[in-house]
Amino acid sequence: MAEPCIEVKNLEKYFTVGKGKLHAVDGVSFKIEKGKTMGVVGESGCGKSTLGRTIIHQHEPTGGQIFFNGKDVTKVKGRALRDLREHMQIVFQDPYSSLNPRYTVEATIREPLLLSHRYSKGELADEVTRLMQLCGIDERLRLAYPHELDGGRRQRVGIARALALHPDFVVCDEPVSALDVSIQAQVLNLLMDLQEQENLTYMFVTHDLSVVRHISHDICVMYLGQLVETSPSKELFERPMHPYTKALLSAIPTTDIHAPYQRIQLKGEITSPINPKPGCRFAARCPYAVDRCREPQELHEMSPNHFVACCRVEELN
Amino acid sequence: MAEKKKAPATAKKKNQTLEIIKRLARNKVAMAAGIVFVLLFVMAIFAPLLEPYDYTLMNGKLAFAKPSLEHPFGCDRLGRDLMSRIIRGSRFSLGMGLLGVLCSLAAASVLGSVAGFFGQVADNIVMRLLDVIQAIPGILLTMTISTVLGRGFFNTVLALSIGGIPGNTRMLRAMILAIRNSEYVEAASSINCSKARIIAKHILPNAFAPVLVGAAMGIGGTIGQASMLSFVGLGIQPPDPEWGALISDGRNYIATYPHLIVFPGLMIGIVSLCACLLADGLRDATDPKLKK
Amino acid sequence: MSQNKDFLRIEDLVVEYTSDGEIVQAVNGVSLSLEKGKTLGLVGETGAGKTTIAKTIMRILPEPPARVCRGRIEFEDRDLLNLPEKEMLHIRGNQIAMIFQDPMTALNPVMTVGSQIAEVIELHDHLSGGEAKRKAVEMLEMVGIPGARYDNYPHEFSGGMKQRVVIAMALACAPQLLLADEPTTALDVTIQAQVLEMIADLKKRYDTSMILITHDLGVVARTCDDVAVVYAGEIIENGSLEDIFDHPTHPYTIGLFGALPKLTGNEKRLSPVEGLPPDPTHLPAGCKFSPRCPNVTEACRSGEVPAYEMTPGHFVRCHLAANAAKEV
Repeated sequence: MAEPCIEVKNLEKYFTVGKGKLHAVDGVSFKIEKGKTMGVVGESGCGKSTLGRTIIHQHEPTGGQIFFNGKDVTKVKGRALRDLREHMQIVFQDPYSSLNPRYTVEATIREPLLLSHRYSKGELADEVTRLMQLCGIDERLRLAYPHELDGGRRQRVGIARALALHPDFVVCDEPVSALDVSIQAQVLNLLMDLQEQENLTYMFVTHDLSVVRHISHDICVMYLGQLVETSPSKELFERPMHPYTKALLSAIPTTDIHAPYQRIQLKGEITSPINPKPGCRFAARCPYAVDRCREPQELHEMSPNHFVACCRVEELN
Repeated sequence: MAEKKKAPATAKKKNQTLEIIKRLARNKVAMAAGIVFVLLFVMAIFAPLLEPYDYTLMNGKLAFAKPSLEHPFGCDRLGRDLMSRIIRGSRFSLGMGLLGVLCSLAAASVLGSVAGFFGQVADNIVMRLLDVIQAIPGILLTMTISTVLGRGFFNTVLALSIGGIPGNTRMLRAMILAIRNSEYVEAASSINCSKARIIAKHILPNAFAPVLVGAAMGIGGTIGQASMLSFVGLGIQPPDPEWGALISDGRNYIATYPHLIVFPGLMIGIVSLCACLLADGLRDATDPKLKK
Repeated sequence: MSQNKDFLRIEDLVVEYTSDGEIVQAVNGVSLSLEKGKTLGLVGETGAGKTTIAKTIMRILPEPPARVCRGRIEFEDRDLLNLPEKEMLHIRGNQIAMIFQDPMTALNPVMTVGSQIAEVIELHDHLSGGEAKRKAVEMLEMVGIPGARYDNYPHEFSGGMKQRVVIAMALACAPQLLLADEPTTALDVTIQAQVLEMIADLKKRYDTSMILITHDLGVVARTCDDVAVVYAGEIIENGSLEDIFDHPTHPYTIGLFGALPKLTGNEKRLSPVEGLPPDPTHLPAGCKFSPRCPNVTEACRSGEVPAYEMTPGHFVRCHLAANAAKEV
């Protein structure tokens, strides 16, 4: 296996809320190889966005470790954190709120360059031009304000800003879910081209399973803060093993109108992520739940790089 | 295209300012208000040259003189030319109104940013402090501070500005709270923006618009408060002809010699109105979303 | 086409609105028909005019700025556009109901969900309070929410449950036509599947017809009988589900499918339509899609493009389809 760009071990992020601790990310471990894309899927509130933000140090982890290019960066502070941030960037979900409405396209892309203090004034302008070309932003939009751009173009500006400092690792937090399909496809193509050109490692957070299958090499499935299954992308779609993954995949509406449609019904209430009991969070809705499920689950390696957090995985598959 | 690319950053900044002025110019009402405002300031600056008479010159014969060609605004109870007094008074009234609001805005920006951005303990401290200030009736507070600081122009400005701080701070804090969690602020921190830069460049410009208009509307009120201070013997004192002082001077004769009140009152009204209209226009002109 | 079986007919509908002194051409000559009990999917990108069509049917367009310039909407042989507001009040809710995209804002936060449903029933069916309440509980249970939660407030429900409450409200008066505007877009896939199944189930039970507005072709595939693809305020292709999904003909429809990442297959790149939808204040002459069309010809850039009938019921508004079809 190639050297991992990002590795997290047992990562935890809790938020203090009124009644107690909200377990947004609870004991998640995985590796992302250099130049590859890890897709993180799950439903709203499963902690996938928090996971991405914790890895790039927008949130401080509650527990666990984060390794970047083999180095433990969990607790970096100050100067080292600033350096690290130049190597880890994020592209946001909502292209309408991720750009300062009072900044022109040029000002938005120039800001990270300016803050790095690596460029002279003349170089700044050239570098902005390069980034605009790289991300397919028309030169005439240089002095346009965000509200004059459509969602796809705004998202390109957001991508240009993230790539300004040549990061190694980019968290894409639902970057296409606010866009129309044809624009979405244009942006996805751009992201894939950029990955090849700049040798980027992506963590691609989304709830859209067809998008994640298209762009990812590996996929993590999360449920209420817990990692339930991680596997190479193709294998996950061909042989899902965790009951939740199976239910999730069966619910995707496909455009193949002749495909047989059999959705796995989920019953029961969704467990609250605030002060949860140990054990599998999915147990309350799982059709196969037994007493053992109430205990903390371990990851079982079912085939190379295919891990499932389910104590009954072997008997069920 | 090429020359635009090479244009240095300062030239672009200048263009932006120009752009704002151009957009403001398209708003006829705001432009008119702006011109009136500029004229008022010119009047205040060149007051000694513009006064038809010495503003302290008393003339017993002209006591309570009605407006005439020689004395367009008439004369007060001591026979002083009211027009001269109003022109001279603009120095005090405009100055105090504007400076008072600016000072309270400056203080509110700092307090509001601290409270809104850092939250938690800082927020609690600032907000409780403001609660204390707001618990005291506004007039009483201003009077108390004015008493402690003593008379004089700048002391009065200070006293006036403190009363405006809580309102402006609250409004700003509310705006900042809404903006603080937006993704562009998060984006800024992920590209290593310092906290000070995030506040100055990303948060305040987007939070300031409603506060600005609110504050501009306060200019008239501040002038009124200044006059109240002179009335109770604090603030600006005779013979300095602050507008509010002129009104309180003439209040006993409102039925018989209304011009003593009408003209200074009109001036306060005009200033307040123009300030509001101008602020409204400025808010629209600086908002890139409304650019046409 | 036989006239009598069309339950809803829209003919040559044109809607404009004014924004900042410019005229936005939102709907440009849309003709549609819907049979009783069927579901029509209205597919298209943001700003294509899908929601405007639905709001025109409901007659809830804000006028001004909007203006219906031309066209007829016939609903059970009544001309909806010329009906007095008083009669329209009776039709809205009773016979035509609409579900909006965002369930979070459609419910009044200070009223219990049960009483909100009961209110609708009281208003439309003129039932007494007690009866209305009983019926409201029934509706809640029908959408899979225990009747015991009648007295809960909207904030005590999850997004999917709220959307189900909204649907219960829309269906409370057993409307004959349901206009669903992106009813599941704000929901997670598992919840979306649940809601779609529920709608399909209720439709069957009440023989309700539905217009489903969505940008999600997967949702259309699962729920619709007929499909109309909307682009820049025009229907550029319509037909049965099989017509559109198995034989997409208009270059835009083909582009829509090309833009979707598939769940099977191994394509490396997506092949979306390049460019952007046209500015609705300055629509291009001729075929509105011509500036983005990969197969554009000179003929496309001027004049109206007629709809060609490819196979019975499958209409395509594209000159390239002309050879394979007869003009209507």
